[in-house]
Amino acid sequence: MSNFLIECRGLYKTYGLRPALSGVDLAVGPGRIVGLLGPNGSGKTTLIKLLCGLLRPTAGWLAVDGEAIGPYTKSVVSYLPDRMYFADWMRATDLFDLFRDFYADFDYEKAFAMCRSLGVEPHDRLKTMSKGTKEKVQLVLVMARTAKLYLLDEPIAGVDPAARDFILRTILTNYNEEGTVLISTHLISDVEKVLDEAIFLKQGKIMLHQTVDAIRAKENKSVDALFREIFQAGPMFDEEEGF
Amino acid sequence: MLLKLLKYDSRAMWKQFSLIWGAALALALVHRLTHTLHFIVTLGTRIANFTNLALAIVFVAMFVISVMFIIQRFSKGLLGGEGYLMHTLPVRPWQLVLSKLICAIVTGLGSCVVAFLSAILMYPEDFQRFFQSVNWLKLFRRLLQNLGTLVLAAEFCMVILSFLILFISTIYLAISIGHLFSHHRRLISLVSFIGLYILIANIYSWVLSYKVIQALVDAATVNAYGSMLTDIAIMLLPAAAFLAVVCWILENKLNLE
Repeated sequence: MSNFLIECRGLYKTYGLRPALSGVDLAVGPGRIVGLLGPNGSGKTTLIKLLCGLLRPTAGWLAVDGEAIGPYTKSVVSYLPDRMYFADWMRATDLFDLFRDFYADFDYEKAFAMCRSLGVEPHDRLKTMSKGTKEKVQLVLVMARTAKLYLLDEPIAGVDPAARDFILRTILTNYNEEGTVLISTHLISDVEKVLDEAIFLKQGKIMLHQTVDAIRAKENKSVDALFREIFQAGPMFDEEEGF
Repeated sequence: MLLKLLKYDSRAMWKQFSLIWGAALALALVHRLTHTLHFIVTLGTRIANFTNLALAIVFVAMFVISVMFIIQRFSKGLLGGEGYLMHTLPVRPWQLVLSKLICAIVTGLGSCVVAFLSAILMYPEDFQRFFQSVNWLKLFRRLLQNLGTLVLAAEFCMVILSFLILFISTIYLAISIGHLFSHHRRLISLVSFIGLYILIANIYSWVLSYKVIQALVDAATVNAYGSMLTDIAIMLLPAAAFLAVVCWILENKLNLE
């Protein structure tokens, strides 16, 4: 059995002729908070969708908790998409019922407690809720699980700085510490303080995968500063040799 | 897991159809009551005319909503935004499709039953007298003595069910084919739906051109029992193939963008 929670080898994904991921090799262990960092169109969402089983790789090998993607891996992955997935007729409690039925690790009481602390009324119809409240419900569904892997796709995109802190605090106070959190974002400065590892993705390729401490020690700069250097000042190293 | 999916899908169905089914039955009752208003004939006739129209609208609406529901539950539920939820549940794609199919069949049958009940309710006949006029015991005894009639009735029900399954699985495959394209998905789905029925007709005419197959079909359809069983097979075979392709597309070609 592998010690890694996420393993990818030679992972390719193309949409038609357009490559989204090109030969991604990746291994992430348990108990980590990992930033999946890259500009728009770098392949972050594609990688997350592959991990949660919404997409099939064009080529390569991919495993979560030592298993190929399937019902088992879906049962240990808690996924926050970058969009709403609610049906209009539902209330938050309907979703809680659904999650309790399908996920053994879903904590029903915790979901209600989180709703109370986030100021969400779970018996209200979702279609009457504001966008921000719906996002909170979606966050509650994800964080009320004791999952092995949390896949959070742009959880702080499109919200004001105060809301970003609020969301990050909710994630940090509720995640399973034995599990791994993979957060995709291009807002590096907001998440940097909570990250253990950073993965830089550019044009479907991994440019860098290191611990945040190693980056700071080696480069003598913050992850945000390094990110800006790599993605704004053009290539600073040969792609063949890696970082 | 399939039962859990069915619970979720039937809840979605009930939220939508409880209102329309209830409205159909309520209007049928109103229509019936207006026929008993002999003491205010003019008003009664006006109300009856109105409820006739309203009931016709409800029937048409029920059919249209049933088809729309079948399309929407599949396209939005599995290939739209809700797909982000459904495809990350720890289940296999075939379970998702089967759950949607069962729910769609129940919706179709439920609408038929409600339409039938509404027609009975509308009929201006004294139910008590009607039920008393039939010797039910004798009727059941005769039915049990002649089991062939029961088998024929069961086969007829199966023919209707098979027709419904083929219709729904063709809709599912047409939508799935449309999903494979990035533009004009609805148009491609519509063309696919028509194309799939043409394909079935062509395949069967090609298969039946073989004398051996034709002889087998002739032998199987010598009586009503065999004819209906053959019809069931003719409809269920392509339906099974269509559903298998739908599951393959969901498993391998899903793209919720």
